[in-house]
Amino acid sequence: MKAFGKYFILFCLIFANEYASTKDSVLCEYIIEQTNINFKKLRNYEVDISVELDIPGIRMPKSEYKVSFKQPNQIDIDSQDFGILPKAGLFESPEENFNNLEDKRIIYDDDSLKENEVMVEGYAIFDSLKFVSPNEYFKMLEPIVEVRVDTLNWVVNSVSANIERRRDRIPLFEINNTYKTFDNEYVMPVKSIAKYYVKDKKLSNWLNKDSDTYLNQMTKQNDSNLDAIVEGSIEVRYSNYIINKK
Amino acid sequence: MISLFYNELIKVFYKRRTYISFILITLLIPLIVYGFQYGALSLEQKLSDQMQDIFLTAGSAVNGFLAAYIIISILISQMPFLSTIVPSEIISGEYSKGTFRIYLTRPISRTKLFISKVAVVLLYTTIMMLYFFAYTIVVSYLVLDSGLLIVFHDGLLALEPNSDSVIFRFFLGFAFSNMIMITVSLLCLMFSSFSKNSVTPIISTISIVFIGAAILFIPIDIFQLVNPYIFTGYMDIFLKTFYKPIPYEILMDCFIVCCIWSFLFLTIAYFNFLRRDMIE
Repeated sequence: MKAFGKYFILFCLIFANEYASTKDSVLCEYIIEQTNINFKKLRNYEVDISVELDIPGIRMPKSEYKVSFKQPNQIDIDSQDFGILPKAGLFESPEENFNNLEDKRIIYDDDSLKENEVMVEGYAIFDSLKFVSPNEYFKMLEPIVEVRVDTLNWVVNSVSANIERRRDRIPLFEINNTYKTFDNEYVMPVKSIAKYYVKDKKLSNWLNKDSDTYLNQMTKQNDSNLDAIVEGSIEVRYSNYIINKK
Repeated sequence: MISLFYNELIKVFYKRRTYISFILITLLIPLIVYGFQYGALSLEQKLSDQMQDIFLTAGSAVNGFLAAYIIISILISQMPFLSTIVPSEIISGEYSKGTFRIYLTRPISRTKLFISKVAVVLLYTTIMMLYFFAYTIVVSYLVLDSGLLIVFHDGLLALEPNSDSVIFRFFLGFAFSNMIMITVSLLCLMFSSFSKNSVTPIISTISIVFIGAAILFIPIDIFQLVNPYIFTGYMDIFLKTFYKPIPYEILMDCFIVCCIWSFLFLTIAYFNFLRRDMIE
């Protein structure tokens, strides 16, 4: 009888675990589907954006562009002058954010979660991120990507990528969006802040992927090494939306 | 004194070789600028490729200012050749042709004659450099229009034409590059005072500039130690005027070094000119 009890408890635990993970996966799929449905409501839109960069290695004045978006992923950027915009997070379908993630799970116990917000976490292959690897070793790592979704409006509030260490996480990039409702129907970003955590080296060196000290910094056990990685940010402000008018 | 200067000017104006540099600049610059207009795709691609992993690029980096910046920074290293054309023969030419024998029978002071020749050399070099800069900027601007000037200083630096005073930076670049070219011209003038033909001063000057360039670019400790004290070490000063902030201390070093070397060359040339036997 005792043995049966033990087996029963074990069975219950396995079943509960399986049930929880199935429930997680179903919920994940639901969240992804809902954000996608919401995103696909936008057939096309035009928006004026102003971009302010504060990134080590790139010094550019505030620049303004006119961006046209057409489903599924046609982006046209009109600019008089040369300018640069962050690749990750802007004008991206939520599907793109989620598709590259493996082992997706929902995080319930994060204090930073706001009301009506869920966090989907998963592992991404480095190459799938729109982020340059400081060197080839980085490509062997699997960064953890966190996507926070507003379940009221079904929009992506933030995306962040980190590399997990035994004691902490090293941030790679983070994108935070602020939204506003337009035409009483479309919830569109009015401000996006993309933060990049990079080694403060000359961009030319950094982009030539010759900053081998980056890995040294990362693998050192001394936590002060995080100071060597500096934060760069790109602030994008959106205005004058013209949505689904074409 | 003014009549001597005028006299020297006439001599320079009537020599065909004086116009070689101007003709060369006039023909070459539009060719390169049109090259930018029709074939700068690879340049843009190179810039975009460097950032495509992480950024989207919009608009075109190629404009009149970028074209002028690239053309000047590349051709400035060739300007020492052109700046030796007049000084190389301004003294030696008169020796070789024997015109000094007649010229110096007149009651004029050699010092005044020397000063008038130096003034012509300074004027020629400055006008040539001014023409090179102004013509390049004007042609580039007319063909490619203005825009953000993308340069490399601690990474990528975009200079706005108005707020970052791009035109002022070009002027500053001209002023300090001109100082170096004047030093090169005076070096050539010094050799000219020793020589009886106009080829030797050119070869000697260019050899020294070549050695100076080697010292500038070969990364050996001893070279890097002496580099700040030789005028050829500032050959790339034009590029530095587009740094942000402008490195005024380096510009000041350049000014001091050029003044010292120019003074040295002038002094040697002057005393040699005074002592030289004109009837030999």
